[in-house]
Amino acid sequence: MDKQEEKELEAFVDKIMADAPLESPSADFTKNLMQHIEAVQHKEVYQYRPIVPKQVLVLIFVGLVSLTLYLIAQYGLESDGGWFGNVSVEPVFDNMWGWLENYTSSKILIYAVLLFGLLFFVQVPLIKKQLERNIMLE
Amino acid sequence: MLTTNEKELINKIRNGNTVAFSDLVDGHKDLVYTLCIRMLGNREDAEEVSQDVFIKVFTALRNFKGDSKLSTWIYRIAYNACLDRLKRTKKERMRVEVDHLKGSAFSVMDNALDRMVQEERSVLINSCLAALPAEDASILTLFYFEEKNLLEMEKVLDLSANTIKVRLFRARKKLAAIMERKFDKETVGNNG
Repeated sequence: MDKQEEKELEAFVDKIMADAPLESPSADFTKNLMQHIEAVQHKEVYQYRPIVPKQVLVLIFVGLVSLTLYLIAQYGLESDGGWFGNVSVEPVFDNMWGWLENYTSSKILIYAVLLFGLLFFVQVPLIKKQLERNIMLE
Repeated sequence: MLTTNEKELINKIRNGNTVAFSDLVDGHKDLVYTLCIRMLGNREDAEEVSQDVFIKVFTALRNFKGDSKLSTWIYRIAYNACLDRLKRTKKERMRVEVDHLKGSAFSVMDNALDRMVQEERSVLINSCLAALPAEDASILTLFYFEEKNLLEMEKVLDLSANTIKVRLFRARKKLAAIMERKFDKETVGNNG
């Protein structure tokens, strides 16, 4: 193909492409898209972020483990040696909880407390689900 | 690179203004959809990919530095999304033989096109573009969307201007060959 023919080809394709119509997507394209976008936006806004950053948690964990290892190495594992050897905690507990020694309660009260505790834990996932749904809808 | 209006629009979208984003979508959806349909060859895929393109535009807009035109950046996302879709579906259109193309045919086809009514001409051109392989269809479409600016095309396609020129020439030849074959068929059909 010589230069002249190349130019003719170019002019011909220019003409075709100028006449080539632009296609349009469906009428509710923007509406559907905006629904997706709003869902994406909410996900971003309510993305879970831990209150304590990971690095701080790792630092605390490493600190506690090394402190424990240091104390074990320093004082050993025996309960009457080292730190706790001279500390007497029994009188403290006696003062605080001594009155419970003679306390008795009826079976009904025990069942009621147990049932209350059980229902409390049943509520937790339900309330969590409800809150999540409300936040997502806002 | 960016116009004042574009900068304003981008700032609004970055501040969470979804109405501004829907304006951006309305301004670019036809161009993106046309590029997708010419590369993918069917409306359903083109609509789905166009939607993915705009979701990507929305999430990536905060990282857009403004070193190209906004439309160029959107075309680049659309072009890459179409390439990904083609890779996944592994669809390939028929090869187009260009050896038989005669230079003298252009003026004949040109006259024939002139005699057609607008609607008929649009249908014919669309069917020819649909028969082009995705790479050629995309390069031709982008060349005219970018108003023949090879520098902007380099940014969309990530290719050198020389490579783009070579590919453009090949795409033009293929398009003309497809059109010639269509005209031949129609002439045979009309005469027979």
